[in-house]
Amino acid sequence: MLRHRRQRDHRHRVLIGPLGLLVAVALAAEPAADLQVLPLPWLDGPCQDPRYPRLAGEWAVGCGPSGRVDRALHLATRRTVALEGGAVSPGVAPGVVYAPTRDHGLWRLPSGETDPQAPLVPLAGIAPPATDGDRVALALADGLQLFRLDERIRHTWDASPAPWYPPALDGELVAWVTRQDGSEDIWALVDDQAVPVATTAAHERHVAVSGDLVGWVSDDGVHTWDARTGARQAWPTDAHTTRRLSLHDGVACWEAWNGVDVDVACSDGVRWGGEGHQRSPDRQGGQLLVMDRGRALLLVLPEAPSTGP
Amino acid sequence: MTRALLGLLVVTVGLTAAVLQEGQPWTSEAAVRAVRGLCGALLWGASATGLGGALLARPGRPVGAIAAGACGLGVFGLILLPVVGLGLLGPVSLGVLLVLGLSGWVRRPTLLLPQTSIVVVLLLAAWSVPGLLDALSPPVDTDEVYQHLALPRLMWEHGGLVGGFLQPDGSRPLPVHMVWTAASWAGGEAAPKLLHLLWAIALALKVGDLAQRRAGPEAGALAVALLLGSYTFVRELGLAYNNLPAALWVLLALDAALALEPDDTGGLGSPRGRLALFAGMALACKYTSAGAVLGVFLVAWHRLGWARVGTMAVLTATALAWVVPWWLRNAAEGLHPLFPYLGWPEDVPLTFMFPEKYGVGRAPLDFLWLPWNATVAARTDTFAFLGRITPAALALAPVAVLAGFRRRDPVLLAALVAGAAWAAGPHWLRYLLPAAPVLVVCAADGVATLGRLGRSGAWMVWWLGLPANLGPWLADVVDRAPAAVGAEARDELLARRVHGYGAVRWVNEHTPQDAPVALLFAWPTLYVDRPSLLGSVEDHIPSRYLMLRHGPGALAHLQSLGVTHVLANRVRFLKKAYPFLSDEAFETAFEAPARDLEQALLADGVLVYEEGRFGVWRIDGR
Repeated sequence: MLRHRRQRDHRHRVLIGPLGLLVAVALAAEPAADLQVLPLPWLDGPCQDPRYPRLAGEWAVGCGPSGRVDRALHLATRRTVALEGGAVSPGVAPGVVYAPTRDHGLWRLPSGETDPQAPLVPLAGIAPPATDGDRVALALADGLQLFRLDERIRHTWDASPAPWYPPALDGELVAWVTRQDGSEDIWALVDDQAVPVATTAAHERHVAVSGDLVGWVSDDGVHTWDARTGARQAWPTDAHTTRRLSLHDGVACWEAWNGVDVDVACSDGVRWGGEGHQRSPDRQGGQLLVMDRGRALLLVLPEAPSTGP
Repeated sequence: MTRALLGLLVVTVGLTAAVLQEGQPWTSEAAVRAVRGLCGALLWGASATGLGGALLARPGRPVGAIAAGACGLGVFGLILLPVVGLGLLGPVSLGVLLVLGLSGWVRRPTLLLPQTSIVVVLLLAAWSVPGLLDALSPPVDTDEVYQHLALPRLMWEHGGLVGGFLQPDGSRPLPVHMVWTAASWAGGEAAPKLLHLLWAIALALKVGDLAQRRAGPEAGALAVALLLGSYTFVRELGLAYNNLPAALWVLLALDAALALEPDDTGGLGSPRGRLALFAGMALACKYTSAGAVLGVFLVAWHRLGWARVGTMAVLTATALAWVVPWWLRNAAEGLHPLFPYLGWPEDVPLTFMFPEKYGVGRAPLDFLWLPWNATVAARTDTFAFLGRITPAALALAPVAVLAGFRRRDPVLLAALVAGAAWAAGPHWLRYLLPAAPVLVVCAADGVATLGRLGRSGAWMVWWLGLPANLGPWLADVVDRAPAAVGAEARDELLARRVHGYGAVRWVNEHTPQDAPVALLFAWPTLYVDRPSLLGSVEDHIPSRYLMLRHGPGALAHLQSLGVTHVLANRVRFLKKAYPFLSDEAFETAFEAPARDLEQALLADGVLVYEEGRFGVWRIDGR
């Protein structure tokens, strides 16, 4: 597939799938009216944790001058909300931002005030939490803790999650990164059983979960595994700069090193590149949030055939 | 005097209450750490005093106790150079040195305690409380973490000296760091800091002693108060630095110079011998003491007679003999004798330090206003002198100068030379510390010429300056006091006070035990439990050198040295901190190396951990 190059007139083009060449020719003489590139300057503030800003359903959450995730932007109406206190590395789900430990808070958008009933976990997490808006997975030094946001009961699984890599969660499916003997592996909780998903000598990391799919980044590319069918899929790529894998509705997006700089690539053929580094992709359906040379951009994509399983 | 005593009692109680944590008794671990550290510090202090007392002893004459201790520590600092250089650092060699020093007591030297007053004792007692808590808290100070305590750890780890382009700090003269290395063996992490605190107390007592002998008890008290009322001095009380040790050696050299007689016959314990000894130790400890040492030598020359050129040449050569071994060591390793200050390769545009960065300007008018600006415009948290001194020093300066001129006092000459030497260099107030004893003794001489109103006025100005000078220091000590007594976990304190500690912890837990880790634009060498390279000094000199020297091949060069992981800080240099550099020069020297490293890590490294600006990258071939 063709790689995007920024036009001199600063219009950006997204080339999609195996029809990319035909599409490029078709679009060459026409403005890219079917693609919207929306700068989000309110989310440009450099985050202390570069894995943000993030999409949260109808919202995007990001950082202000403090470097904490302390603001939300409704993508349709452009309404802005300040999140009381904010957090450095919260869990993010559609309409929900949650920090269980030091930066304790639960923000249910559009409210910017933290929910006073938010579960507080005294033990320090070793990575940002994962949440789907109802449940939370938190990596601890000696296990994985699972709980619901509206309950006080927490279940701890005997596991050895690796620090810094957040676990991933969607409904009942939970996955996390472990670290042993100098390499990282992927494990998942399927039907209350911990199962190894990827445990080769390679460095499998940056796990993500969407529906029944578990995705991760490895030394040779991006992989997914279907927890129900066992089917595996791989996209050979150089994703070594990736800080976080985006996985939504079967479409994975990652940072791709092109030999000179970093572009954003997705498993359905969408790619965003150009001069400088394009980083931190977060994809939800037809919306792709990227940090393009330090500026937050929302790409609203035209409809494209999915190459997911 | 009664009112002053009452005031000091109030200060003592207030300081004690301010720093002690009510309801937070010492934990057993903290108590054991403190006792062990104190024992280690006292043991080496006693050994040094025994050695120094034996070396300085003269028939029928007492030896100053502080002079004996300082002499012994300086001798240890020099003896340990070949010991560590030959890879003999260990319990046996240090045990032998310890016993050697203690055996000096067999000669039963007659030690003379310094003259002091109840005011000085109260001052030191009060200030020692926060100083002790400072010394007992885990090290978080940047200079301790990258150099003063990191170098001893590196020497223990390597079993020998470190230095060169990958460890430039290790190529400076390190007599005090040798002593810290020995102290840490005997008393653990706290021992060097506690030994430094004792050293600082000895300095204050000696300052009071000299000032009192020259101008009376109140002059002695005020001289000590000028030191203890200055932030730049007190903040180093509980830190294992080398400025105050240099200051004590300078002061002892001045004391010897003032005792010189033209017919002095020499010998190590004679004034002539002590002058050369302590001047040399000060120079070997800190090159920033050179101005003060020059001033002291002028005092000596004045005492001996200006015609005694040959004698002064011999004294100078003898003093330099304490520094030359460190120069020879550098030369033997193919480095410039004054590396890391000089001797960087010509194809690498690297300047070790920019004097223009410090202070508030270097125009002729700025030099004229320097005493005022250094007192009034100084900030503890910016490059505007990076410190603070008591306004009483500025208030007494004209009095001291006038009194000194009237008496034709050579100490005034020494003070002026020391001050001028500091003014010629970077206007960083802590660089004035080695000269501080000379300056405050001069100021105290002037106090003696004031009437009662004048002296009261001087004390009043001192009191008024206390909040601004002690406030920042006490706030910092109070923040760390819980960790000192064990009420706060060590890791918690380090996590919130040491930049990059989370990344350091990851390195310690997840990297191969024997594989070197490169610290790029990062300071916390002390806490990396792996062989480490580079680290930082001044404006991140080692990392900038690596990038300027090797360019895109920097990571490959590190890999060739066996490095598997890099701990890197996403540093951003601010042009406004370097207004004296052209945009091009700033880009070449600062922005380009940082940018090139970021690009190199993106291309050839795999990020495996990140916390804030600090990331750990795997570079073992992806």
